[in-house]
Amino acid sequence: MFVLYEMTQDVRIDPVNLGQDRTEAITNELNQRLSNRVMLNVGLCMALWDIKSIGAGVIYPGDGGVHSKVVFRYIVFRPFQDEIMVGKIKNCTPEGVHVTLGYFDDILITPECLQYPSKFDEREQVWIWEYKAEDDDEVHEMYMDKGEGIKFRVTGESFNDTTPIPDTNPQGASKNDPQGSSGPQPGSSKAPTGVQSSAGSGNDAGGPLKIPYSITGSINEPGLGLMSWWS
Amino acid sequence: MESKCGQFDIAEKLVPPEGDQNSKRLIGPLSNYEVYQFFKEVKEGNVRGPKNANKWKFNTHLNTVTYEVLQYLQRTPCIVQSPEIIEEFLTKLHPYNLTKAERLTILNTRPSQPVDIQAIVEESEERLTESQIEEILDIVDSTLPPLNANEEAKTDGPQE
Repeated sequence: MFVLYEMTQDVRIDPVNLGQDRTEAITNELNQRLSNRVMLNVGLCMALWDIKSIGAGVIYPGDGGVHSKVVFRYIVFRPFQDEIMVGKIKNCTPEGVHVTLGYFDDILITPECLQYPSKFDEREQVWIWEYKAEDDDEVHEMYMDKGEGIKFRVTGESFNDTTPIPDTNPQGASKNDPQGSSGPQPGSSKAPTGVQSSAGSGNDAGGPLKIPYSITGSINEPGLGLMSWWS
Repeated sequence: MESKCGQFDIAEKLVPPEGDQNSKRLIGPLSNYEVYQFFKEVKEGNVRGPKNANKWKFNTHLNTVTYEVLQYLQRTPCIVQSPEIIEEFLTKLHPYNLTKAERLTILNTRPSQPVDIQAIVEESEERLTESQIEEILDIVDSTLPPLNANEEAKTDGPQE
């Protein structure tokens, strides 16, 4: 579920923080920058695990901050393919069952990955597994209620680049970007390239909300599904 | 990184080449126990000691993550595990030729039913006999402590 990633980044210590212990200032800066954010093709960054090395501090003209190359390890949420995880049902929609882990919400179990046969109850907004035991003809309706614990298998993941790019946003681009510069903005120290807010706040210009990192799951095999079904 | 340093040779030497920047390398998985211990320390550092409090104070993202992850992990069996327990568990599980990912999932989810093992272990019908599955469940039951007494009574009930 959680993995450790080793990364190398340029970290700027603000002049205000130069009085602090260097390791402490860098720890703080890295957590500020990456914590609770999705890094493209890496996963949801959680917290700094440790710092392996800190390079020489460099000062640039016109900037009082000290830049150093830091090699560090970060805790990242990135479940592996076919991992079995336990979550809670966030809600049910015709698209499937949405599952949350508390710190990560973008998990969807599509209708074809539910137990067969399952149906969606429009009035109650809930998925129901119409379970039929082998020895009797009665159909048991197994409700997948909101808030129930659910065990599922990770079947896929998808990363979406939600970095705001002026060219893809015609209204915003014409106003904010009179120079008409193409391509993404050069990454400032506050917003390194490839790091996006997990809340998907990068695209408030309307249109469908892009999810930076989403997981698809399945429960259509014995042992998976609501925890109460199998105990 | 802005290229403000063009005219200074020394700065150019100190700046790492572009390819080296933002490199990422997967090291390996962490168990829920390790992550739980880590965030517990972060949280305690947050609450105690004025020196540490200052350290995390303004970091709302980290505080959110810490709170949410602890909320999640507090309901998993990892909170009653310890390095000794995990080591004993892994040693006992060694003869069954499970992959690292499978052992980790068993450790994290603490399965109590044969169907749980069948879901976790890929192609379990070919790789494990029914008695081996029972043995694994026995190891899980004897080495990994249950989440709490109520949970124990619930899982033990139907098996007897």
